Amino acid sequence: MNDDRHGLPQDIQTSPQASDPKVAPEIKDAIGQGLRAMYESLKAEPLPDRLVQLLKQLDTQDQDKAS
Amino acid sequence: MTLTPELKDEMLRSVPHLRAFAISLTGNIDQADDLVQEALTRGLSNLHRFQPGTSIQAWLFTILRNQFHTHYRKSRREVEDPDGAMASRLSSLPEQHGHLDIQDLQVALAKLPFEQREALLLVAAEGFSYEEAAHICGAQLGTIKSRINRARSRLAEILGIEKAEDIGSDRVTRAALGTE
Repeated sequence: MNDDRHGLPQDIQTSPQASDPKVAPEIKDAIGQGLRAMYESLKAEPLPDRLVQLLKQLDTQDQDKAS
Repeated sequence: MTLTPELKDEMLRSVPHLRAFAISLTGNIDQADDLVQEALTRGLSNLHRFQPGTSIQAWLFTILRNQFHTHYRKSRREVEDPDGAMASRLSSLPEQHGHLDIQDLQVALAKLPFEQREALLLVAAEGFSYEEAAHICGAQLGTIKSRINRARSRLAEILGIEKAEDIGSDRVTRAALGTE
């Protein structure tokens, strides 16, 4: 699990800083709710044709292997 | 690793998640769909590298995120036309949620540095743990926490909601704070 620490530049191995800004819990919640609402509506968007086609291929490929 | 029906189902279920992440990340639907398509294609052709028993959704997120870094990020540091391009083409974005205007939030999100945006989206929108987000981004846990914290703070600043009073202290909030 920890192999992803290899080769990271020093500057991104930092821990949370004491100087990190403090965000009030209410603000944190409001932002979180807003982001989730935005995200939910994006997830509900219809898929474009090209992705639908790709997923259909995925289905067919699977059936081909099974038969 | 072959594509078992279970794996295929999990992959299919991941698609709306990948797409929501890609759209929020890039602010550009065509680019987002390219990323999702590439991530699925690469995932399928590299299925032998997937570790059984781990989450294929997290694995696909890692692929998509790396694709974005490799191919798109260099040329497009900032989201193009965050006000118009996306909003005009999405049918179902709500205007308002709670105290925030969703479109304002989207515009503000596009102004965040890329590393902060991806970390915040993975944890606060998609619901990955800090550990999973760190793995997906190839960063240390502390770095991810710090980026998310800075992302929230910057968003609050852009949206003008830096103090609790700015979003109005409703009954629920006051109750949660034990001040009622």
